[in-house]
Amino acid sequence: MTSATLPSLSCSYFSKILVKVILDVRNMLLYDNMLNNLTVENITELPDAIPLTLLQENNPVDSDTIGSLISKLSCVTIQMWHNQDILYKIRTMSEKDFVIEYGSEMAKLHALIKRACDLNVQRTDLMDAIDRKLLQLAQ
Amino acid sequence: MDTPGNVIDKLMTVNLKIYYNLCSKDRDKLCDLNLQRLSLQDEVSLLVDKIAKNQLKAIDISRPQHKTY
Repeated sequence: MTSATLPSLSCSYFSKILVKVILDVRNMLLYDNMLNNLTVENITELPDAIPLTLLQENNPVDSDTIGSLISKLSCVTIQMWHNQDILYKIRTMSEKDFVIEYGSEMAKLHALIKRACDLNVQRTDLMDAIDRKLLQLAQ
Repeated sequence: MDTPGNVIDKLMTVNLKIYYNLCSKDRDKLCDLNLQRLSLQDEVSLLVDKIAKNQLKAIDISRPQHKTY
């Protein structure tokens, strides 16, 4: 690789990071705004607006460093926090409200609960990966 | 026994709690959370220090494994 290609490579790398940061901040603002306006009437609208798929890039991989593992764990913790917010909203509902809101929307509820479980497994994997990495570094 | 990964996770949760409680007027709760944050920070440092000095081995910090989900 010539030295002339390095600036353009690092430039495209940083622009990718910048785009990701802007998208993350935009999603967080959107998320916070929606959670602030959360009512029993619009709770079923949330799962459509927020991607319920698990971010596979947050899974630990062998090439991760301690810093990247902690960064991933931090992302997953925030995602879990927001996901729990939605589930705790359900906790405050009466049985009648729950049936009204989710009677015909069981697929959405299933997606929410599944995401909470998946995020927890991802979080556990990351904690184990951090411990393994620290031991590996000490040896 | 707590592992470094476990304590870092606790620390992140406490940080999130502090972030969401910053606007509240409950100063006692904020002080309490801040103390928790400081003690968790110390705990992470202590555990990493012990690992670096080989006082903790893999067996000591292996968390109880969950069943295969």
